[in-house]
Amino acid sequence: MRLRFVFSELSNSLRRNSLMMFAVVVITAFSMLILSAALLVRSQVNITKHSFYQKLQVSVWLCPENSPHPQCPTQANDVQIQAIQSQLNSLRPLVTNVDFVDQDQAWSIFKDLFANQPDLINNTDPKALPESFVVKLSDPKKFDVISTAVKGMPGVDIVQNQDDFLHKLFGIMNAVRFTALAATGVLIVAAGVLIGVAVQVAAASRRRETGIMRLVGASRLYIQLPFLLEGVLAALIGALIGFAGVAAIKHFLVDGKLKAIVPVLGGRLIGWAEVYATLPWLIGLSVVVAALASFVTLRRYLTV
Amino acid sequence: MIRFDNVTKTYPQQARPALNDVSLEVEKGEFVFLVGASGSGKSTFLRLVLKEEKPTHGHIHVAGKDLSRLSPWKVPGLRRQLGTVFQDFRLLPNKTVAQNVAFALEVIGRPRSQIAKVVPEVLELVGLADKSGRLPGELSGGEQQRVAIARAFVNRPIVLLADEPTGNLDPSTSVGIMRLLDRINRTGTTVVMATHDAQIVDSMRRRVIELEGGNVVRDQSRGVYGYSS
Repeated sequence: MRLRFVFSELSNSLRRNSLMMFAVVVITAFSMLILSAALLVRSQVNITKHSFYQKLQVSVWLCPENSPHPQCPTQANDVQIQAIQSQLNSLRPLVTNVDFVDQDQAWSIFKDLFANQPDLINNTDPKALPESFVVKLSDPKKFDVISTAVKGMPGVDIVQNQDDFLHKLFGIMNAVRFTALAATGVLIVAAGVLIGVAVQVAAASRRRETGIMRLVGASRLYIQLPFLLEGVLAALIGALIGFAGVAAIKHFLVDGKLKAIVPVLGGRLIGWAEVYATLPWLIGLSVVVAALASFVTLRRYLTV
Repeated sequence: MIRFDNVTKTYPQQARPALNDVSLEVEKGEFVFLVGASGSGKSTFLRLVLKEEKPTHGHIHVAGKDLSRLSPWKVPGLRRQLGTVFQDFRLLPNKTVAQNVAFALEVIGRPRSQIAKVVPEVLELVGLADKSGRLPGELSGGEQQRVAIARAFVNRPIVLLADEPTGNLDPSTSVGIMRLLDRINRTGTTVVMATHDAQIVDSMRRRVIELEGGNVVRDQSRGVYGYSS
């Protein structure tokens, strides 16, 4: 009985205030879409970081013949290579694996890599390819330790870390994420204000009803609940539409167009599990914002 | 039933109090007219009883409760014991007569079965049993005020407050409304009615409290509207 009354009041009010509620739905949908995007970029960063770091290796390139670099007056000799290897091995357990790639192996890797460019292979002298150590680390973030340990040793040309590229990539992704979070913040404030105004309009248009309710002794909850639910319901619909937008983006953009960059990002792209994981945040945040905005407005504009 | 002890009410930004040191008591089952010119404090008196306003000084007791000690969440409970009728009826134009009366019970969470039982009874009491499906716009002023009285009385209040209930009605219709209020009073309900209508006050011969500039200037047990009229 009580619920039936509240819901009939609610549907009456929603119908009368439909344009205002439409605006609330739209802005909430948009802000929740952006929020979800921010959350998903973060998930992607974490996935990419994880898979990249697992595969991350440090290459210690040795001096080849006729190197133009001043640190390589001659090609690395066996004694130097021995010294470098034992230096790397001394860094265990940080170093988990050391592989020596000699010129034959380097040549076969080179041929695999450029199999579709026979001209390049034909014009390259296998002797020009440098030998290298490929080092795996237990903690890829401690690249610096390897770098300082072997840099400057005779026979070492360049110590190369794929981390540099990653940092740039993550930098861009984080910038996207923070921009999206800032936009979400602004949009949520705007949504909150709009919800407040919508609830205020709804309350003003039904002042006669609420006046009578007050006089005959309806409780504060009874008088205010329909308005509160009105704001919350509109925000909830907005959140669900925003989520539908995210799902559409995931389906058409991520699973469609972005598939091509998977090799660059390494690992995988965000899946449906990550997309669904944002839903509770969208619903929770929009409901809390709507309830808060409605509550504050009703306290100010609806005397009981 | 209603007791004012040295009640003064001064509205913000007004030098003169709307009620000035008023002490009076209305017993259970009494019928009281509040008379006086506009701005004499009649409406303020009624608003104080409903706890729509708080007195600046003094204490008010209604139905055994000290209003100054009544916590805000208990105010609805107080108002459920009071019925209120206004000059402008205050009906909901898009609800029928029966729905208007039922509304007062719905919003305090009364069960549907009880509403279905008592609404026809109270419409019978006010003489509108045959018009329960009409909209307020289809009724005369007198009939609309009967609906408003039915709504105020449907929850069987112990006090009925009426603020110029005949102010918008012609004299013959007013007589009918007064008969109705008298009948409600005879059921044991205390009635406090603010009015300008000298003829009605004179014909009823009930207790009259006259206010002037916020002061009680006359309190007669079987009074008339004024000495001069």
